Amino acid sequence: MVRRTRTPSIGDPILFALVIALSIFGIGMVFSAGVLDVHAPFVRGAWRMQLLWFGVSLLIIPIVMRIPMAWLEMGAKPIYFIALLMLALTPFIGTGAGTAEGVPRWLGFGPVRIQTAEVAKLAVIIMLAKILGDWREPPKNIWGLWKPIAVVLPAMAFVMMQPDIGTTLVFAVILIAGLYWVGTPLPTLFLLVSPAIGLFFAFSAPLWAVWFLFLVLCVVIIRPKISESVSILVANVIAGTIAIPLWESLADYQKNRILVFLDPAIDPRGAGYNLIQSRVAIGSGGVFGKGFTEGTQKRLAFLPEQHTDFIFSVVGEELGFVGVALVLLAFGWVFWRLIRIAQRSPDPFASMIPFGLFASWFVHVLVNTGMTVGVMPITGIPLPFVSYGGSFLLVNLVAMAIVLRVAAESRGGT
Amino acid sequence: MRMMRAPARPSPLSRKVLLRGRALAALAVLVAAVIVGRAVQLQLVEGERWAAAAEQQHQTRAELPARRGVIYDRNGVPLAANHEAYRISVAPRELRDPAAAALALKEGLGLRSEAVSEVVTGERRWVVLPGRYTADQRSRLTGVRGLYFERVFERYQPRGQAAREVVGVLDPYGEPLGGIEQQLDRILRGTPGYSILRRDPAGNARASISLPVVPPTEGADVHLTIDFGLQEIARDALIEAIESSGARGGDLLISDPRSGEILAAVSRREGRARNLSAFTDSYEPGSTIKPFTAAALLAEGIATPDDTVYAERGVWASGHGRIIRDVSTHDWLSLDDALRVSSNIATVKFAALLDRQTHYRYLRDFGFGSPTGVEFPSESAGRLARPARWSALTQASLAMGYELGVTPLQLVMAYGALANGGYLMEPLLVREVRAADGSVVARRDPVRIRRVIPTETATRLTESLVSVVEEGTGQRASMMTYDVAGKTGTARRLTAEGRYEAGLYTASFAGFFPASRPQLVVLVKLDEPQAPYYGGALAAPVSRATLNAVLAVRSSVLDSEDLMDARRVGDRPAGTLARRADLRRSRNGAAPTIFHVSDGLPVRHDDWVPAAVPVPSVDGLPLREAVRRLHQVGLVVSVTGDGAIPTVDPAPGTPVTPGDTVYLVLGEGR
Repeated sequence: MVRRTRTPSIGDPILFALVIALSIFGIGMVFSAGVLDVHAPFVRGAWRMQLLWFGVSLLIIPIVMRIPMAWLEMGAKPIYFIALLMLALTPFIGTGAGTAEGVPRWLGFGPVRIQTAEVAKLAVIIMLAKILGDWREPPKNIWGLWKPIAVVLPAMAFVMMQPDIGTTLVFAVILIAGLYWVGTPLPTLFLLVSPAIGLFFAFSAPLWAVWFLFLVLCVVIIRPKISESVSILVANVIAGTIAIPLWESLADYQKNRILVFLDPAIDPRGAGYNLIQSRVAIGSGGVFGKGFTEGTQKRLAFLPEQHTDFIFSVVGEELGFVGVALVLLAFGWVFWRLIRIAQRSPDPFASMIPFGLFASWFVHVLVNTGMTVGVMPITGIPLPFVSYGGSFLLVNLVAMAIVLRVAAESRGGT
Repeated sequence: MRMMRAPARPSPLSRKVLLRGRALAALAVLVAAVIVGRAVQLQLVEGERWAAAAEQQHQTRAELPARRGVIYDRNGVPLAANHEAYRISVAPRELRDPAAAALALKEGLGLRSEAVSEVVTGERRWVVLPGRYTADQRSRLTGVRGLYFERVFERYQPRGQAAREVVGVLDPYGEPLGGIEQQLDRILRGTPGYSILRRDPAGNARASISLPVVPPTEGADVHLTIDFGLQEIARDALIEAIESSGARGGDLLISDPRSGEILAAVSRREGRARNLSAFTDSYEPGSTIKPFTAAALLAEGIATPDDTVYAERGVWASGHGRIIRDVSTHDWLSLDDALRVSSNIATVKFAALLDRQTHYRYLRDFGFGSPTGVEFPSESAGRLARPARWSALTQASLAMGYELGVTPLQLVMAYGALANGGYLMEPLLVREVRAADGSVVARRDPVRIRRVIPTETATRLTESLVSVVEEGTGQRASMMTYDVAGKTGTARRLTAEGRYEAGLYTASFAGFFPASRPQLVVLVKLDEPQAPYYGGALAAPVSRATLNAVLAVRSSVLDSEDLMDARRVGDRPAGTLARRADLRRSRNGAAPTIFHVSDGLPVRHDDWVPAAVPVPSVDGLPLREAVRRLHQVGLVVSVTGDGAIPTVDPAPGTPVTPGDTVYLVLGEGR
């Protein structure tokens, strides 16, 4: 026992290697993002900060890896409520930074600044794991889902208020994925998200009518309880009614992001600028790219947010299709390892954590890379491990350490 | 623990979990396919298009201006050259240390400190400093961040404006206005090069060694046939003539009849040298056209110089309601006499011997009515109607120099044909074009357009024209040592309404020198001079002054050996002697009235009583100026010695009579 405690099994060496490699690669790309022909001292030094955070994370990882899942399960509630409290306080005592100068998303602890939403993601996943792990069998109807929804909804609400649509979306996906993972029937999930889908159809009355008829048909086929059916339909009607006022309540830049996604040319100097510039950068990279640090669009600062949200564009410009494919492949492999660990973990609580992280990171990668190549609207969410952002890297590496612990425990180590 | 966990697998739940895992993996693959597919589209399929878009965004071409070719005279004197200058711009937001930059601007460029601080601290992002700055001033600012330099060339005429109307000028945007600058703009301009600069989103461009630079091709240099020395002499002579005669303007052309090269071309209108009207404006030449009618008669064998006609004693109703008058009354005049005294009546009667076609053909062959093809913008072709359009009066008018328009250039070339033995030459203004490396790109060699008259005719006609200068209307063009051939002209001028108006004349003289072996053709034309407005009185002396000055400065355009051969052999320069005789008569007390036989009305020189004048001082004057000053008081100048500093003999202050000869001795100073 003493011996095992001193050298715990690393759990999943492949995942570990992949994540460390991605992090180091990320530091490299952040360094490259700072090699500019224009004056931008902060971006130039960003890679050092990233390296520092990475170093700190490396010190924390072995500690986290030694925390048994049972302890984590016990600590789930305090962790969750502390994270929620931090998230709630952020709009009032937080600070903005970098690209989101006007939006407080960080909490300062002395010299260290933590992006509270990132911490909250991990905390929500753990809390969700605890709730869902207690379930003996999946709920049969929507009302049975109130607990996990109650866990995620406050965090979603706080993030929504910041406002941060991207992270809100991540929370929603974490919730849906968690419910799916514990075996909630797909029709139930579908009915659950139907009001959200209905929001989009509400912009065209005939389309929404078709959607509503389809929904009624579903209700007839799925045959949920009467109260359930009624509330689903009512929720959809409400969604249909508030869609346009809700749209009007969005900030202009948010509306623009969505409109521009549909047609970047409507505002090439403004909201469409990022999208166009990102495509130009990636496209001009070609097969093999322009070479590490040599990207001209980046160097001359045509590329926006090149060290955070659009780091993937730098990858595309400098390392070409080869780099893009390799990075996506690495993430695919990470996801595969996560699902595998989740599958193999006999402990429902432990199993839930890699899966929740999978959902979270998957949305991040999908939305981030998707927006840089122009198949997703621009929502400012970063690419895990690669984008600049110290607390985000730390949280992700800590999460990975927890997953490694899960893997180690399910293999019988420790 | 291991024992406890082991039975958990495989369980039915696990199988379900496996299924869910696969479903998610499938979803992930699907999503990955979308993103990878998009990457393939952007990077592999459309890669080149996006790369081009990127290039267009961050690269900009900066033009590297080509040095404009220099315009030289025939001896390599630069007439139009370039200053290299810099335009300086400030990007205030890029300044690292605005205070230091302000100081550098203030001291380096000598700008006012308020102006500088306004630039440095102002709100504007880009300020182009007014004016141009030298390379020296620019080098003082090297290394200051936020300052940008653009090399520009400024055109200037290093030796002054004497050849301005020939050379032309550039407008502030570098576009040529008139003259050789305009005519040969494409040659002079060169091809600008460019360098590719990197550009950031703010639009700032910076050079990068990794990007291509195409150096500019410098403009080619143009060497003109103009002799700047002659040009200055001609300009001074013309300006003086215009001032003393009160003319509105005038032209003076000097050409080499052997090659057709234009050696000097001066035009003045209202005191300005805006445009070379000697090439671009035509006028009615009056009597200066008469030798060409005579040339046609002689060449065709229709008349000999000694054939005579009755001159009607000065007034002749020629028919068709026209009355032709002569200035002086004559009974019978030979063709020679008709030229010498410039009799309109006799000339018209001789011209009537020519049929219209022949008359027209000769005028045409002498170059009237068609452009000469000189390399100069907007040359006028003049006007010469075809015989079919002639009225009954036209032939007589043409014989007297009316009903046709000629440019001074055409007239000079036509006189050149009389001087060089019968060839009409193409006028040359450009000798050579040389590339920036000195290699000759193009050369203009003399071109004989056609033989107009046989050599014998030309020779015989030259004799007649010498007699015009020696004994006739052109006496004031005669020179001491050389025979000059020439013809005066005094033509009534058309007003803008197309009517002849009393008192408006063109006074002109066309001649060549030395008569036996002509080296220079001179045309002097004065527009609307005050009375006396006769060509013989006003234009002929300008020709003499010009030629004397050319001789005095020993211009390199003259072939001195040939000139020696052409010296008058006899010791009785007729014209001078005649005038001397007049002077003697005047000294004898009986104030004479001298009738200079001229066209138009007789010129009364009642006032011509020369008094003794002191020899003017020429100390410190350049040779040309010294000669001019001596000529001004009516002295004949003979230059001796090899030095550079002229002294006058007899000494300044000595009383002399106008017409006396003084010596300019060139020495090394005292």
